[in-house]
Amino acid sequence: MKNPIKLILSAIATLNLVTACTTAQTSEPATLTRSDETTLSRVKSVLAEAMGRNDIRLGAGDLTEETSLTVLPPSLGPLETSSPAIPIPFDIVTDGRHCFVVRRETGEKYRLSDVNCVAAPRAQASAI
Amino acid sequence: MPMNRPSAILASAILFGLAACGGGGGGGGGSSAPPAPPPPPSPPPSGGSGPTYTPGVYEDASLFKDQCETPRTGVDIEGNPFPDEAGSLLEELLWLRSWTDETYLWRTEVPDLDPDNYTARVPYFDDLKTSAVTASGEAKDDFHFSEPTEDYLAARNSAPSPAYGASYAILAATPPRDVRIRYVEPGSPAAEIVSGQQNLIRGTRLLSVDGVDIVNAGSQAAVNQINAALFPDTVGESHTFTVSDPGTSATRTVTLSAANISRQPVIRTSVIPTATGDVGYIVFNTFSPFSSEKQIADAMQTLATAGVTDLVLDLRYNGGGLLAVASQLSYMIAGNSRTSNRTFELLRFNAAAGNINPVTGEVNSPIPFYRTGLGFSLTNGASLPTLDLGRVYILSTGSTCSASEAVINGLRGIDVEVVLIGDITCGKPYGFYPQDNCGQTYYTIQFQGVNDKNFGDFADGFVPANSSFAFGVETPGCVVRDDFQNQLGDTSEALLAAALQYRSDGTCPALPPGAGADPSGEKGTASAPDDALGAPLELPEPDVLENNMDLSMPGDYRGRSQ
Repeated sequence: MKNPIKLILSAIATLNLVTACTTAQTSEPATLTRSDETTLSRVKSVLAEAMGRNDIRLGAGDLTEETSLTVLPPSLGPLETSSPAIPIPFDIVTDGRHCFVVRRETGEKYRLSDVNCVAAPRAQASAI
Repeated sequence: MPMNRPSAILASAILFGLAACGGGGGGGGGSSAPPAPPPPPSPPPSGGSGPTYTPGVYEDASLFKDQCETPRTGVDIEGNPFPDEAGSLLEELLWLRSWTDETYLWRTEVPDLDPDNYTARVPYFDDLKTSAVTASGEAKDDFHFSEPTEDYLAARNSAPSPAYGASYAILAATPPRDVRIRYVEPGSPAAEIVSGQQNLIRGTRLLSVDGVDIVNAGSQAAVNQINAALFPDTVGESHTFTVSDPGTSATRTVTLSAANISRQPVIRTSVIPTATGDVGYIVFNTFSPFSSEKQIADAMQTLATAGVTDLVLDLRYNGGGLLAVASQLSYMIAGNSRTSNRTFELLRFNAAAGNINPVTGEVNSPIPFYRTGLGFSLTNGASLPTLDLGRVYILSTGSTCSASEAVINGLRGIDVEVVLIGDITCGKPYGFYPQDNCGQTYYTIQFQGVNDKNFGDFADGFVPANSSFAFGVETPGCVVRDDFQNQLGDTSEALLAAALQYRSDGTCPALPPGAGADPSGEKGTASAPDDALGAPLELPEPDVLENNMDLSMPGDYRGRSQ
C-alpha cells in the first residue's frame, strides 16, 4: 500500500467493522438525539473513515428525525458537465447500547462513538 | 472518486471480512450490487533498474500511480494528504499510458507512444487520444485536457464569487461590439429594482462602463478595463454602466455593486394558460450545484399542483452537471408507468472493461429513472412529483450540453416525444472522472451515455427537424434564433412562442435567414478574427467553461459553418 494514511484509515475502519460485527446482530433503525455541531462533528469523523477522505459534507435531512443520512460527493468542477456522482446513503441503527451508521450499498457498519441515538418509532423505521 | 486498484482490493477485502462475520439478513437491502473483485494486478516490471517502456506491453496503471517526478507534501485544500511518492517523469508517463489503456473509451484508437520521445507529461497526455473525426468532420475527442490539480480543487471548492448576477452574451466581440444580458440571477444586484426599473434585463445592451466605450473602444487597455468592470474581483466593487434596453434607443445609467453570487439552477417557473390547457414553463440553467435537485423538484411540484398538461423546459443555457438530477427530472416529466424498469442512461465504457466500471472497479449498473430524492438537497427517499407527459418541448442552443442532452436522449429512449425548439445542441454524450496524478488533473473520455434503446451516438448534437444541418440527430421541432428582444417566459419570446405554436398546430415559424445558425451570444466570443477592428472582447474562463469550451462564432457550429 503506497499511502500510509489511507492504510491507517482503512485499518481503523476495519477495526470498527470488526467491532460492529460482534455487537450488531439485533440492530434497529434509529435517530440521533441531538444534531448539534459537536455531534455532527463526531458523525462526520466516523464517516471520513468510512469514505477514506477528509472533507465530509452531509446532504439534506434532520438526523434527529431521519433514520438515514447521505454523504455528498465532492462538488463538481466546472468542466464536469456529465457527472455520475451521487450521494452515498447510510442508515443510522442502534443495538440498544451503541449507535452505528451502515453504508446502505455494502452493509459496512461503523460505530458512532460518543453519539447518542434512540430507536425510531415503527412507522419511521419502515421508511428505510 | 476514482479508485485505484490497491484501494479496490482493500475495499473488497474489508467487504469480505464483513460478510465472513455473519451479517445475515441482507444488511440493508442496498439497491446496487456490491463491487466485484478487481482482476489481479499484473506482475511488477522486471529488472532492478526501474520501469521501462516496452511497445505493446501495458503494465497495471496502479504500479505507476503517484510515483512523481516532483512529489507534493502536506495536504490539499480539502485536507487530504497528498499521496505522492518519489518517482520519475517516466513513471508519470507510463501511468498515463496504462491508465489511458485501462479507462479511455476509445483505447484501441490510441497510438502506443514511446515516453522517451517526450520531456513533459502534458504534451504526452495530449497525444494519448484518438485522432478520428465525427460525421460532421469535428474531432471525435474534443474534450481531452488537463489542468493543475490545485486549480481543479480551487474551482470545485470555490465559494460564491463576486459578481453582479448577470450572464453576458457577446454578439459581436470586435467593434462595433454588441454585449447583451442573457439573464439575471434572481435576488442579485443585476435584478435589483431601482426607481421602478430593474437594473439589467435580458437583452439589455451594455454601451459603456466608467466612461469607457464598450461598443467602439479599440485598444487592448480599454478591453482590459471593460473586462475588469464586467467581472469584478471583490465584493462591493462598484461600476457605472450606460445601457439601453431592448426595443428602445434610449439610454440609462446603472451603477452595480458586486455581491457574492451563487448560480441559481431554476430562475423561472410559470404556468401559461392556453385555450387547450395550461402549459408549464421552467428555465433550468444548470444541473451542477447540489441545490439543483431541490429547485427542479420544487418547480415540477408547482406545475404538478397547477395541473399543467404540457411542459416547455428551457435548457438553452444549461451546460449540464449531475446525471442523477437529469434522471430525476426525466422521471418527473415522464412519470411512473413510462419509466418503470427502464434505464435512464447506461455508461458505456471501453469493451475491455466488460461490465465493470474501469475507473471505480465497481459493477457498471445502469442509471435508473430515479423516483425519489437522493440526498443532494432533497431528503434521500423523498418522493418526487410527476407530470406524466408523453411529450415535452425543450428549448435549446449550442450551450445545451451533456446532462441536458442526457435528458433528451433518456426520454427518447422510453418513447417520450422530445420536441426541440431553438438550435442544434452541443453534442457531448461523453463523460469522465477527473483524475489527479502528481499534481496534474487529467480529463480523458471514459464513458458514453446510452439510453434504454442503447443509443448514444449524438456527438454532433440533436437538431430540430427543419434545420439544414446535414448532421446531428434529427428531432421533431423547429429552428429558431435565440431572442434577446423579449424576456424569458414571455410568450412573445421567439423560442417559447415557437414551442406554443408547434404545440397548437404542429407548425414552425418561418425560418430566419441563415437558419440553423445560432446567433446567441454565448457562442460568439473568442474567435473574432479581425484585430484590425479593435481588440476582441473575450469572456474569462468561468463563462467560457459554462459554454463547454465552445468558442465558435455566430453562424458556426463548433467552429464550422453547416
